[in-house]
Amino acid sequence: MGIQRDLGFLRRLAQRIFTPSRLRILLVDPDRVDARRLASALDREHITTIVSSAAEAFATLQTRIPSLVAAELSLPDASGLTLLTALRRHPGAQQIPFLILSQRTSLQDKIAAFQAGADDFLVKPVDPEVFAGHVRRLIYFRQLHPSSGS
Amino acid sequence: MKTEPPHTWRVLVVDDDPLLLANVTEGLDILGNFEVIAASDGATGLERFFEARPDCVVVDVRMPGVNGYQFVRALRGDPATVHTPVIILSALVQDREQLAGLLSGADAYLIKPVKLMDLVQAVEQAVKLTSDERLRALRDLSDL
Repeated sequence: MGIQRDLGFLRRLAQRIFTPSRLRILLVDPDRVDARRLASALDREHITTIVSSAAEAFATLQTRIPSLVAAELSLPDASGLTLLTALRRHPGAQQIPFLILSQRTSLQDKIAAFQAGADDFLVKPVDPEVFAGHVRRLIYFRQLHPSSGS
Repeated sequence: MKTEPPHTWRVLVVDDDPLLLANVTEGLDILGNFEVIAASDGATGLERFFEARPDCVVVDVRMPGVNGYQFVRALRGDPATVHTPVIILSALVQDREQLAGLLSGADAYLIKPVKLMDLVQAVEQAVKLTSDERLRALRDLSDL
């Protein structure tokens, strides 16, 4: 008990468990320029679909459930949390990692997002490589915890 | 010649087990000469964090509302708090849980029951980590 395993062991464990694969990521952001900038780092590893509104996101989710959703908190037609709540009710989509993006830094926004079931909350502006790192780690995390909450 | 007084680190401990919270708070105070702030759930922990701006956080995993993984990501996702030293202290013993905790962004993962001196040492190591060292450790686990 007490002390953690050394990092070398945990890295070898990660290499054994994680299977990097090309996944579908849904990015919901009305700022298309910023969305494309964020997707630029993801595109090397995954297939990213960009939509601008909650309505478009819902339409996309009807046809295919992605492996991860990253959504701006302030969408033109709904809050990103509305999208999150709807996704968590969708059969087969309750465990999909959900990442909130926002320029808002208020603690209440963050707490509300996590209590609604968000897995991560990134304060904009976000460096594309930082974004890709968070996405990668959330996907690996879900491989470790396929049926549990955040 | 004047000697500088030892620096007192401010540590936030977040755990929903009141007994553990009391023991760890008292132990860190006595053994480590830390100024300890306590919170009994993740949301309150985040509020305390922004009120007190601690030098290090010790956080449990399984808590109602905002859990420990989310708590760590909340800090790592904001440029203002991304380099905060964070230690997970959890009863979840599996190697996979340790990996999950570190992937969430924690600097260290300790398992309950922990010897208080081990926790003191972990805090002292975490507060000395540079941002580059923190980032490198995280990349080592996820850039496979």
